[in-house]
Amino acid sequence: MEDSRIVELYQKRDRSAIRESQERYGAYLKAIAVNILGSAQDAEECINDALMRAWESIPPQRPAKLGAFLGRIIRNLAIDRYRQERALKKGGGQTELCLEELEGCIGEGSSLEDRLVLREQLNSFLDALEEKNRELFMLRYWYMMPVKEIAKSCGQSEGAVKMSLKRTRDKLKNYLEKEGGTL
Amino acid sequence: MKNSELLLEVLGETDERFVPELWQQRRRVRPLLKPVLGGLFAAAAIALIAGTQIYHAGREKPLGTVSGGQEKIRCTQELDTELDFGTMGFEGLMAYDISELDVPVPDVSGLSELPVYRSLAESGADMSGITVFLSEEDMKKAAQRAADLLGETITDTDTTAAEGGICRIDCLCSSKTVISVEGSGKTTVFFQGKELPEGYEFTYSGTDHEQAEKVLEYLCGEYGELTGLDDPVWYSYADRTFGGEEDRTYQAYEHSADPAEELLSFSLGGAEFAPDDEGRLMVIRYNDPLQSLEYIGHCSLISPEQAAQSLKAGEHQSSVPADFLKTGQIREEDIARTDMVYKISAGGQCLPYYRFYIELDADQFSMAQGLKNYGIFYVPAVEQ
Repeated sequence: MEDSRIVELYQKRDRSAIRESQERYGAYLKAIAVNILGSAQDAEECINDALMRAWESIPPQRPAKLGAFLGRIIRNLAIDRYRQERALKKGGGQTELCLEELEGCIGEGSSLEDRLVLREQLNSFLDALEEKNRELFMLRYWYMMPVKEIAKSCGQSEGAVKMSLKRTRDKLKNYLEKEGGTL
Repeated sequence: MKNSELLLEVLGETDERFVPELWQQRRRVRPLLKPVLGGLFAAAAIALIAGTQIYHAGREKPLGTVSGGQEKIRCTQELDTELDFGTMGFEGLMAYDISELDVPVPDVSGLSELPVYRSLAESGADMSGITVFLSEEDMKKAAQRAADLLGETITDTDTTAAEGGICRIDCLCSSKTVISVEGSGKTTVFFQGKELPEGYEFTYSGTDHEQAEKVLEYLCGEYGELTGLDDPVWYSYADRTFGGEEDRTYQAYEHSADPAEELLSFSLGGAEFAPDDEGRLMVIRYNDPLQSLEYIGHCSLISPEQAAQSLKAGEHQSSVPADFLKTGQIREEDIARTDMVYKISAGGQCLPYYRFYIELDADQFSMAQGLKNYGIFYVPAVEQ
């Protein structure tokens, strides 16, 4: 079923919207959640939560790209779950590794409380990045995809991917330093 | 929260256009996109065109008007024929036999040339296919027109902005019907389940062809003025889900004595009707594609045989992964059907393409026994 028809089902409060969303995007959503959590079982639970969240959000929202909309929801839910599980010292998937890599990029010495400002800075930064580097960066830190998998899907060596990510993180660090003392 | 955690979290809130569309790569086994068999859109303006293939409509034109009167010219410019399949899945249909997908395609077999156009609608900045063409005022007029024809009163209007202007307005009516007009002019009416009179069977599965024709005759008559279809050709077909269940589509386009006009309406015009799970009318979608098309000129056509040669030589465009073909390449016996449609290229030009239905390797899919999967492949029909 096409996106537009699924969204129409949500608008009509027809619960088959959830089934159709799962049919169409279940594998995609699971991949994101597994990357973040490292557990297929936890990922399945996240999918259910994400679809219920979508049910609660549409309407009033009417996403133009249902895949991106659902992907964002499950990413947020999986990160929340990761935090809970970290407190219980369980699981972790790629999240811990990504955080370590980003720590090197951003440091911990200052406050980053203004989310809106940070989001705009990140949008500007990503906009200015070369497309190929941006894609690698987002595969790693948006999808939290393992480096090995990124390398395979992009037809590059793991070393080349790591090098590209390192350069992009360095650029991000310089950019954030220059843009307003967030470090 | 650590700064790195916040950074990771806020990265998830960045603009969608920066997020690679991985679902396209991961969900390859299901044909998520139906081919536009006859188009989803209406051809309200076609009836207004008087005896010429020359169309022009600018931003300053009120909705539903065209200006003509130009002489037919040869298209001398190089055309951009590249198609953009930038969504998820691949374009295909499932059926037990290709005859299940029969639709009344306009006959253009006697034509040696067809007009080509330039699309004046611009893609929005969010890369979601949203277009900006109509002004906000024109969109509001279109919504008001729809409301008047439906006997509705608009109580609230919401606008959605994209780079370049307002790309959509959503009008809530007193009966909770929603009228959405997009920047391209496409209009969708969402009803709260509108009952059809007794005796009509209007479902995705379980409605046979005869019942579907009856429903369409009623809907085209009831909403003819709204959709702009004065002389509609209605049709319905049912493709299948992986389990073999019917998924019926209800569409119509405008008949014309001019085969080129009719093909344009079939491809990019027309109306679509959709039921809800209780057999009530849920959605009407229609559009006037001509208001955003500008005539470029006429082009000579290649023959279907020439197009098939190109197809078999691998000179085609498709969203179907090559590994779904039976032998890795297209053979004559894989071609289940050929017809012609207008499509808008990635460069914004509207031109005819031969459309081939290719039977794919059934072993690649978990389908009901005997079900066939037909992938769609295009070859530009213009001689360049």
